[in-house]
Amino acid sequence: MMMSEEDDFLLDRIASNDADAFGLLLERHYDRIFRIAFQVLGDKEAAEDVAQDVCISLSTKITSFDRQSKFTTWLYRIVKNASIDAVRKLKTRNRNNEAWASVTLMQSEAAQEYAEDLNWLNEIFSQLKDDLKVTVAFVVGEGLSHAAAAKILEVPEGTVSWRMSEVRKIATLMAKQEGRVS
Amino acid sequence: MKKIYELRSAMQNVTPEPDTSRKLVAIELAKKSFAENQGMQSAKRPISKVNRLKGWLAMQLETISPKKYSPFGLIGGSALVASVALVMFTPFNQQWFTDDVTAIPQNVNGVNAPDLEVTRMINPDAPQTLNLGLADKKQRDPLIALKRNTQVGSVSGISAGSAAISKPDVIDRLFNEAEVLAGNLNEKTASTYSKIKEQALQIVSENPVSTFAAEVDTASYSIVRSLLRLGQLPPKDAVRVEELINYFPYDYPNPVGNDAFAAQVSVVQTPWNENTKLVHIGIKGKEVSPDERKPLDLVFLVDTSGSMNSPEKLPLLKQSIKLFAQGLSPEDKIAIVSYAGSSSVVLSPVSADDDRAIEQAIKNLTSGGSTAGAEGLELAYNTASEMKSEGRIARVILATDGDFNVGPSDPSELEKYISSKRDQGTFLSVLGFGVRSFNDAIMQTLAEHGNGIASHIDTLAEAKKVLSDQLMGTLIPIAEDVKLQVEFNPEVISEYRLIGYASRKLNREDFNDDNADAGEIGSGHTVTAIYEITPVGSPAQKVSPLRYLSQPSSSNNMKDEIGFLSIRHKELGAIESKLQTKVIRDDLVQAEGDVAFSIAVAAFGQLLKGDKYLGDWTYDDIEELIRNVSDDDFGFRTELRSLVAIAKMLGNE
Repeated sequence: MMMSEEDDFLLDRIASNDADAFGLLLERHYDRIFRIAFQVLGDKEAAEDVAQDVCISLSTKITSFDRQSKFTTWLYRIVKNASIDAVRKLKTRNRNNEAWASVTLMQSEAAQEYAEDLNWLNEIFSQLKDDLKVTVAFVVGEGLSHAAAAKILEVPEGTVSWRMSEVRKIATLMAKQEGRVS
Repeated sequence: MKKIYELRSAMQNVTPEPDTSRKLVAIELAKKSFAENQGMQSAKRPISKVNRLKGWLAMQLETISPKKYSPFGLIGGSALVASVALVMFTPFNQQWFTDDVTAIPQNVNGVNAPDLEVTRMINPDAPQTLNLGLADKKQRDPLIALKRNTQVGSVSGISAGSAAISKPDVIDRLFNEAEVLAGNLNEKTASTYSKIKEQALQIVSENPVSTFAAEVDTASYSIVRSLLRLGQLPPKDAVRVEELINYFPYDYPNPVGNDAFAAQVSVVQTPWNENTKLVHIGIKGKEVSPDERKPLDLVFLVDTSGSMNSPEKLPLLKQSIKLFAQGLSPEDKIAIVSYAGSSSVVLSPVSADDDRAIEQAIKNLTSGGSTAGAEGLELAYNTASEMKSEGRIARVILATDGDFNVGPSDPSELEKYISSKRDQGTFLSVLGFGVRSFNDAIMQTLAEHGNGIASHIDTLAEAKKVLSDQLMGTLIPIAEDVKLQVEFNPEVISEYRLIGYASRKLNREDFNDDNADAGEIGSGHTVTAIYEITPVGSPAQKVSPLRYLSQPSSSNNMKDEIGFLSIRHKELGAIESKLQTKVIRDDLVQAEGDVAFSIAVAAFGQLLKGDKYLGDWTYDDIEELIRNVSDDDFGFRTELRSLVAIAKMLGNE
């Protein structure tokens, strides 16, 4: 498996204290860390912060990675925890705003173009609990299998499937309420 | 109303790109923190470091046990050729919203499209991000990291080294097994890298004439570089020495007057064999200035299949097209056709300075589904023929990882189709993306039939080089069917061999046959060919002279001539070829500059291939050879030095 092999190669280097290899490992995964954080948070700034925090925390955690699981599984767990922490902080900050997408995002250029997508996601995400958001980020956003997501989320596979069916229910209910069932 | 299965595309649409400068800052901070931590740890606890390294070593040995790589052994006879790339990836299935995915097309060969999509999260981000770095290049360069590690000391050297030993072997084996498996199914498309026989030694008295087609492909160099940077020696068949040599820019003299080419010929001492000499032929095509050139009609045919869904493929491709469009003039036109399960025109022909339309079209390219390469090709050619008008140059540029696996993509049919379009005036170039899944053999063949070059792009820097130098060069062709022929003088030379060009060899009679197709040379392109020659009576002579043929029939007065170089080419659209000739005299000169460097590249390539002609030469000798060559402005030579250093490290293990 391609990615693991290259990660392995870098992890070997990191084991011999190679900071450049560590930097390369981060470069390889940064975009994905950011993307997952964004999909949980719906906020670009906050996602950049999470990505940075994760990178810096990895600088100490990496030596304790025991390589019993895939590096990405281990990494995603860290990203998940950091994202959930951040989403809680974000909520305390905007106490009255349960929206997923931040105001700045709604005004961005991409938002104009994908306004329909954004509104729809906002409707769905604002009704999702944090653990459901995270599940959606991994299963839908990153396209992971239920089994792979379950490993990261440290729950049984059935729980992931159940959570996804919840998401589907919410979306369907939403559509019904608006009388646009297809 | 949005359907639930649209959730994914909606999420992708609204997810922004991370900010590059913030990314770099985060990584720099983390690296700094990492270095500080490690410094503290190793200073405090030198003994525990040794223990930890031992632990890593043990773990590595486990990792490389055959079990992990067994998927190849499990593939039955029904596996398909294209799965060569796929089987390296994970076997897990995508299963979100399974009731909604029935619409995803099933690959005719039995591979589920969702499997293809999985590659997206498995492929590395590394290649293009490496070169985005604005910080100290040395810090970012993985090569230097590697080099440094070999010098760190015995403990870490052993650990890191041992882990890497078996990896190249494993990779090599994977390639071979994949090829064998594929070979059972379809000989023609089987090998990801065409099997090339080593150019055998020729005996001048038996075969005095060497004929080959000019070659400006460079894809092999990029593949070799990518693999070395990942810490793996490239499979021998992936190394095409002439492509390594021709990758580098050389400052050969420009042609004068109406000549299409200038040939610089030098005879130098062979660095790896004191009893032979090298004939170095450097050919330079005339340069057409930008305002002299004809306007271009370009159709980008973009592979958006699931296998392109990886950071170093589609995203890099998008950036590449943008970069390329910026270098065009307003008279040029661009269209974009995408193909996956089906093909569509995503950008109808627009002027190359219509940034907005181009930007928009590029942005909307997303990957998913299977690869209907043949159908896409047809649509691209149709688009090109609609654009075509007098006095303009039409070309289709195929950008893909080479995963042609749906539709009537029997290679010989595709080749015929591309050849027929070439004869009608629309040429084809190929840009290859992705390192290991890049289907090299098919790409080479397609480009050869389309009178174009196949280039391999793995970093944004490489995209810049390929698109602005090479591709522009091919887009402004100056000559077609360029062939070279060297006749050696049997009185002076007993044996010769052409280094590289194995796949470009022509029959002697093809040289004068204007119907025999050969390579195309673009504005300012250079072609380098190197022969190793053994003088008559040299101790290096491999074959003993024949008793009855050893006396030349007549003694001619050409003893100062090693041989005779002929170059044949056709001007664009011409039916008859033109001939340029040059006598190769036995004037030994000191190899320096471009000549010395290209010879070092040739030696490197041959060593990577495990060529027997290099005797006991090692990478150390090559390092020595290029140590004295001055640097170029673009860092190409510096890069080669570091590749040699990596190969040395991997080769010594």
